[in-house]
Amino acid sequence: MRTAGLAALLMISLVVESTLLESLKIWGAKPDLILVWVILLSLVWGPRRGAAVGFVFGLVEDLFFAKYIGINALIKMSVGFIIGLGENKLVKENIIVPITAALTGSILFWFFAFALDLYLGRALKVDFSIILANLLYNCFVALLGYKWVYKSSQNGLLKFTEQWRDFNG
Amino acid sequence: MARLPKKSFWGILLLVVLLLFTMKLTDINRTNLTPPEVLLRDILAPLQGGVMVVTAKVSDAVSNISNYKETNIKYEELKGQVDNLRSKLSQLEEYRQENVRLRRLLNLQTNLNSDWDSIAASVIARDASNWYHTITLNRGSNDGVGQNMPIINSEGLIGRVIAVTNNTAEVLLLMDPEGAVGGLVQETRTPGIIEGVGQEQQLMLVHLAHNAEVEENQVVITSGLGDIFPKGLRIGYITNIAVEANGLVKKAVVKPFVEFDRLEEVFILTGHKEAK
Repeated sequence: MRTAGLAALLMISLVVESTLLESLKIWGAKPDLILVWVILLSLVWGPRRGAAVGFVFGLVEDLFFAKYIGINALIKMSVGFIIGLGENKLVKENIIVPITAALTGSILFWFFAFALDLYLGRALKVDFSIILANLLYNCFVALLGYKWVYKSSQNGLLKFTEQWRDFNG
Repeated sequence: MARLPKKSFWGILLLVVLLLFTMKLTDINRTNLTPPEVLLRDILAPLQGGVMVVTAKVSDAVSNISNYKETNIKYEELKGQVDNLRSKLSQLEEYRQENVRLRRLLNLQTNLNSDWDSIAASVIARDASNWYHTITLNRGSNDGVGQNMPIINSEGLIGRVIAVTNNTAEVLLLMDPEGAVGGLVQETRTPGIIEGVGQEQQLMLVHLAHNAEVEENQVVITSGLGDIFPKGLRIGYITNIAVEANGLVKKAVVKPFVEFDRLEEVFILTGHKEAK
């Protein structure tokens, strides 16, 4: 059930990103929905499951883009792991948390993206204004999606049963 | 905080190396998509098409309502212009006929489309990321679309096909930094390379000789070099010229004729001998 829900979330996000969001661009940028989901899920699930969900979401995104397969999988796995480390230190009910996490995660994303582009020998040409708008947009989407993710992780679709708790160390 | 057992550490390291390897292998220029990629795209294509149609309708409706007042003022203004234009029209008809006669005399032929088969296609999606500049069309290998086929519309050159599934084709737009194409200043026949800079209404014509005769407002067309694009497709016109930092070559800013953010109907040139 949870897997089906996550798969639907992923597919809908991919379709929305490639169609609807095109007309909702702000300063030439659109939010990275997949990244925001990975950040929010890592925040409630911790580093290992955060990394796992980042890897799977990123890989499917890569297959959909069909370019440089693995780049999003690797970046989002890393972001999921790092953001997941903040799981127990942060007060989840606080509204600052999702914003800070989204901002940190998005900065990490662009950092890794530029690093991997150097490795691929493809100088990434993205305006600073687009990156800035993307960061803010991601924070905004995180703010909208956080409550749902938090509630679902407590007693809804995204909740893990006790036997899974050990897995997260 | 989670501590990794030794086994997991080596597992993750292997995964990272594997991913670094695959991303290098699957760059933008590979010829075939793998079955999972084809499957994923073909599943999502009808959904994308549907959402795109709904989005376009909603945004049309919204802009119609918000523009009502403005439209009324414009209407009065335009009514006046119509009378004015009617008289000009008859004059232009004279010019047109004169033009037809002169054309016949000079036996001018536009290269465009004369030797090329084309099929029409609709844009069903745009690229989901902020990284690349691509569009997805509703025609694929079932319609005879193949890798590297040029895409045009009535304004001029749009880009080339970089990935094909059964029912979709992904087009790398000219404005993408990876979509370089051989260009030619129409008037002076000065060759150069047209490069995208990632901005919607701006291209660069680079590698122009220092003494090249280029001026603002000159039209740039495809040179036909490289065997992907036919010669003579309209690209844009020069708006600015600058000497490169090394002082040896010039570059020119080119404003494309095509509005890349407003593409709806396009043509795929399918008759390219290399692609078939």
